[in-house]
Amino acid sequence: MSDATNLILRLAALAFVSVLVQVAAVAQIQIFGVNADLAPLVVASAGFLTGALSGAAFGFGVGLFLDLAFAQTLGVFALVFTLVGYGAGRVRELRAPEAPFTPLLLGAAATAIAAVGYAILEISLGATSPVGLRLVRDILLGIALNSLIAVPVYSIVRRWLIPALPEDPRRRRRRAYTTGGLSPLSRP
Amino acid sequence: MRDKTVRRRRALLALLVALSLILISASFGGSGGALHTVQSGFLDVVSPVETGASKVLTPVHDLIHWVDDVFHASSQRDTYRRELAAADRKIASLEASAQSHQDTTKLRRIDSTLQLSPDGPVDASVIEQPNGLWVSNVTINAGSGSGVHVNDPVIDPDGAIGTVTEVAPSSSIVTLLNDPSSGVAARDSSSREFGLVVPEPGNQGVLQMADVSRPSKVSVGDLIVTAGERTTQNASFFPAGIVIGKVTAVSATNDTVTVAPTADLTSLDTVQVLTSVPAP
Repeated sequence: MSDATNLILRLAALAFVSVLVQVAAVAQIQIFGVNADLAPLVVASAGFLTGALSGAAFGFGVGLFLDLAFAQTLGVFALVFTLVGYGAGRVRELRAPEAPFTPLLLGAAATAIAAVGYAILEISLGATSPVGLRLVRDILLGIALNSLIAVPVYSIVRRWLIPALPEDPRRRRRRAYTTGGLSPLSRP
Repeated sequence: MRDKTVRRRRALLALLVALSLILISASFGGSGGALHTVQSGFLDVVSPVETGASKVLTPVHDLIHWVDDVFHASSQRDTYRRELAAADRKIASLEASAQSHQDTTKLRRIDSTLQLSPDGPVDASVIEQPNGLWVSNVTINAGSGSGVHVNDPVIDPDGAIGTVTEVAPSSSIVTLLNDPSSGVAARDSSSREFGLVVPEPGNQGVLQMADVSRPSKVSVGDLIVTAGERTTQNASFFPAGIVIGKVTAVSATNDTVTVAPTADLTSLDTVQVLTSVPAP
């Protein structure tokens, strides 16, 4: 099986399991009056690890899956998560941040974009949800809660996808350096 | 090569966004019949999986709920405790206020019945209760600044309680009727027999009316009221008709009548000092 096929299968399985866990468990648990939302974290993590192209496709797939699972207007989650996955991939391609708190910031930003984008789309589509302090409070609490679980979610997604990812040149360089392969000092 | 990758990436993004917008337009407002069929079909397929996953994840779900409930219950308990304490304080304050109002009303009624207004009644609160077995006086929050003088009679809503023995600018000490130094000229309200009300020796909770000339005329249950005159040099002077207590026993052998004070001398709150009682 080629690396690309392996990656697609793993992304599909990740999308299925994460949506299932979100719908069956996480969406039913409220902490501080809000739900944690795995979808933006998983999409952002996958986009960050696989790139903008795969991230956008993965985001679209997860979003569509959620639209179907929650039986709501089709395409809303799909659009929002397409942008989240694409954005996360672009962050990696343009900046390549390696700070330890990158997953946390990535999770917070993805949650914020997803929540605000979803709210804007729903309001544009005529949702009668009250726009006010309550909505702002719920969005902020959701971002805070998701930030708390962003690092472990990123870690799980990374562990799941890494066997199918093309080897990162920086990682290869680092490994080679530590084993003495490319170190200038090891040259004769 | 790079341009091609960028173009491909942008094209895919545009395609996915366009697809999303088409889906939104198609399914918005219930117009997408086919899409709704797909959606309901998808739900039919996924629902059993969701149910299974939900059952599998029930222990985790329950654990998180339990933790949430524990935290919630703890904060709820703290809130209710605070509310209860606040309510208790409010009730205590309202009860004190109601008691004070009741006492004041009673005192006004006594003033009105006995026409004590010319006697210069001054309301006061007891700020120090009798403290211990041997102490028979209380401190009140009215003093010379309010017109209180030494020897002014003091009453509470239930009757006479004592006499002012020391006066400071903003407080006074009232020696109660059950103090050994106390004595009040009194009479039986039914038989009109006179006597001097003093504490019963060795029993501070009970008074006795001594020097009764015809004790046989006095009956148990009679009210003993102030006589409105000074029978002896040491006796305190109270206006006539203020209740002191009820007769509980009559002794014909030593001309004394036992009297239970109507006022609870161990627990006084609102009192009134009669500051302008005319001398007899």
